[in-house]
Amino acid sequence: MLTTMREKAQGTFAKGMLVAICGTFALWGIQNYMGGGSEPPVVSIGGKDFFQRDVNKAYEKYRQNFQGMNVDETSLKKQALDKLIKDEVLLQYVHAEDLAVTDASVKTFIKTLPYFQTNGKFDDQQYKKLLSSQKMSSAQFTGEIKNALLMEQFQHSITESSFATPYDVEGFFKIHNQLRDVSYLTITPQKPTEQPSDDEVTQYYQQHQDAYKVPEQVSVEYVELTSDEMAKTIVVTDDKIKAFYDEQIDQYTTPERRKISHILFAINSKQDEKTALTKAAASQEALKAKDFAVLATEISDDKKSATEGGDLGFFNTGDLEKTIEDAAKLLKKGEVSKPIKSAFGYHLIKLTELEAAVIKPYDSVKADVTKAYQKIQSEDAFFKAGETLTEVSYQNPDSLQAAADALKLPIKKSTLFTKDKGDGIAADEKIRTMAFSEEVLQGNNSTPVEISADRIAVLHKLDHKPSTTRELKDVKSEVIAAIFINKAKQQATDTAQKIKERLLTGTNIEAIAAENKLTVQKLPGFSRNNTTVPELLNQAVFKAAKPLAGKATAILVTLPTGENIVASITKVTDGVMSEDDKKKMELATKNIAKAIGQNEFEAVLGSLQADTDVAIATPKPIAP
Amino acid sequence: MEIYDTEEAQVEALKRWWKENGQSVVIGLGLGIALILGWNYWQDHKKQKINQASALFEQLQKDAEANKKDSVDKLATQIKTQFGSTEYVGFSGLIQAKLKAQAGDLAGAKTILQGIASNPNKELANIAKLRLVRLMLATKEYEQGLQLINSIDPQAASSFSGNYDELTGDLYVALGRVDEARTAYESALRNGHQSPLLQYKIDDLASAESPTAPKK
Repeated sequence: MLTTMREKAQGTFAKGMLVAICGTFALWGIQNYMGGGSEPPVVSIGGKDFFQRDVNKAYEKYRQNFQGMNVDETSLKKQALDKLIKDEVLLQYVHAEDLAVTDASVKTFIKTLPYFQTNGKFDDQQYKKLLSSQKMSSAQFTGEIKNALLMEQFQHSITESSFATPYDVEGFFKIHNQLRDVSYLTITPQKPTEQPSDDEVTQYYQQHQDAYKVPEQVSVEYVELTSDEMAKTIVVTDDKIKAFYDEQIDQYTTPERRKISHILFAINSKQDEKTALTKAAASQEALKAKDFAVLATEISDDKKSATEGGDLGFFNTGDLEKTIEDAAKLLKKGEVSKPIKSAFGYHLIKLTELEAAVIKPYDSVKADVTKAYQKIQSEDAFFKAGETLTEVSYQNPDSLQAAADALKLPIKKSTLFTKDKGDGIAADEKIRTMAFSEEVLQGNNSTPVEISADRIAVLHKLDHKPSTTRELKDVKSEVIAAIFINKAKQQATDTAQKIKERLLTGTNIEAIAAENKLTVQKLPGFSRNNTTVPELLNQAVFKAAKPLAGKATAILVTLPTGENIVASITKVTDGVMSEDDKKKMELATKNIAKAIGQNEFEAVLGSLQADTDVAIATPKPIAP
Repeated sequence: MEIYDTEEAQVEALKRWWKENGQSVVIGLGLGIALILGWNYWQDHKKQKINQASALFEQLQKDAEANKKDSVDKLATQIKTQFGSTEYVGFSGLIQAKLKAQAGDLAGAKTILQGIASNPNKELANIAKLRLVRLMLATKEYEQGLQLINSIDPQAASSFSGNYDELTGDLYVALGRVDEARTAYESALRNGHQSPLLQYKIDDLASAESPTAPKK
């Protein structure tokens, strides 16, 4: 209980931010294409409009909290929208209330993020690289982090300042550890000996028609197109593969790599441009007699690389300033450049290593090339065949023959299936929905059903059996069995009801047990955590009124199995802290305080939301 | 609009206008610039103050986590005196009260919360009141608790009403007024209030069932 009390954390905002970042990492590309300008907003919060793409983004972000879990999409979408609203309301509030988070705190926080760390340390390169890959500027990013931390600051000022008084803690244990003394009897349904009369059987059958219904069924013929099948039709010749290889040669090439060292002559307050250039030129002369690395160590103004003989390592295009990269790309191995100017000053650059580009020979990658070729070709073929299938089946709606002929595919047949269940191709829900659609039932070809990205099918009705009710003579034994079960259950409940009444009037449970040849089960000191009895009984025991003035209370619980339990509650003892609880007192106090704090914060959010104008557009009806 | 015959006349007119109005234009411009500068300065100043208050508050939060009471009190006082107009005054008060309550100084916690209960920030005021009532429960001041809740304008209670209802129920239970307690708890439930124990508390007050009268 103490652990479940810790409710679903109201997601700390900064952590949510991280999910958001990963989310945007994945989604950025798509959103840039989705921004239609004239669409109406989905929701307007305190005058700020949010469009479908914002809501989608919020949903993607929210969904990541439930990854791998089976959750209903509709309610998830609703929750995501709720969260978007709550977060925005809170954000507007913290801005309006003039709260602040210092730049230093933002910086410290960002530095602790593992995304931007290499070997456990913040790595500026990594930070810039990740942000630029998201087309996000550092200002944008720190702005968002700042907002998240602001919201968190306010949230914490409520949740972390919450406390639990001794009364709260005792009160919790008093009710949570409460014990009730229970005795109970179980009344099991007994199969009646008397056969039901024909009238009874007919009546039951007529009252329970639904139970004897055979659902509507359909079978279809279909033409199915799969990309695997298409791949087999691709004719692969050596010439074609070779041509594909030549075309895609970049894919099979490891690009050249260059490693450079440099000596920097900085332009700064101490040294003007002219002096730097003069020094650079002089040093270039000196290099005729002196080793580059030695000179770099002695005079380079880039102190960091100077300790390594000026080494800058291998570089990728874009790592360094363009002038330097361009110069480096023209050098031969061992050659030193003329003085090159950058934002820092003048550089002498030496190409220390050159790994030439390596083209993987055709023979060594032939298998891969073939695979890639086939994949592209079959995707293409699948797409084209899909178009043909759509067109031909639409133009000849009365039969699949034309479509099958056009694509040289067989017409396959399914067995009968219902709306809810089917075998083979009908195991797929989309197929079943389509098969029961009006166009198919009327005898036309269906529109193509996309079972998966690489599998589509067009359906045509084969057989259609409307829903029927089985006749009484065919189901008579089933009806009789059902009547027996019902009667037995009813009798058990009736007996139990009578017993309960007698208990309430004060009759001793032992006496009743003896009369009915039942055994009394005794559970003194029964707790909420007791799992030895059915859950329903446990709940009912603790929902029941307390015995007053020595008068026991009685309850009746009917289990789904048909068993009836009549229980008598004779005594209720207030809960006390167990030794184990006392040991965990500090933790318990903390958790109770936390639960109270969460609760209070929810109320705060509710209050803020009540004061903000939130307008949600009614969703457009989905086009059929 | 005046029509001028020649360019000279036009220039003359301009000169004349400047002679008459030049001074006010200069003063007006000067004033405008001063206003803009002043406003910017004021904004910067305000921002800087809030940042300082925020930094102090962050330190206070850290110290509270480490249970450094003296330091928390000192920081709270500093925030109150130097940055009295910021929300951080209320926030630090809430944390101070928590530390006091945790240490068993319920009276001290109450004093602080009473101060926040009159905060113009409605949310903070409501939070402070809720916590005050829980302290009153712990110190057996049940009637005072009920009085406090009754004195709250339902309009201002807004989404806190469920929380107040549950506390009202608790107070009535403590006073042995079971029927009123049940009504209060049920009202909390109707107000959409969700607390881990609320349902247990309601169940615990279930009224006894008497034997059904024999059917006529």
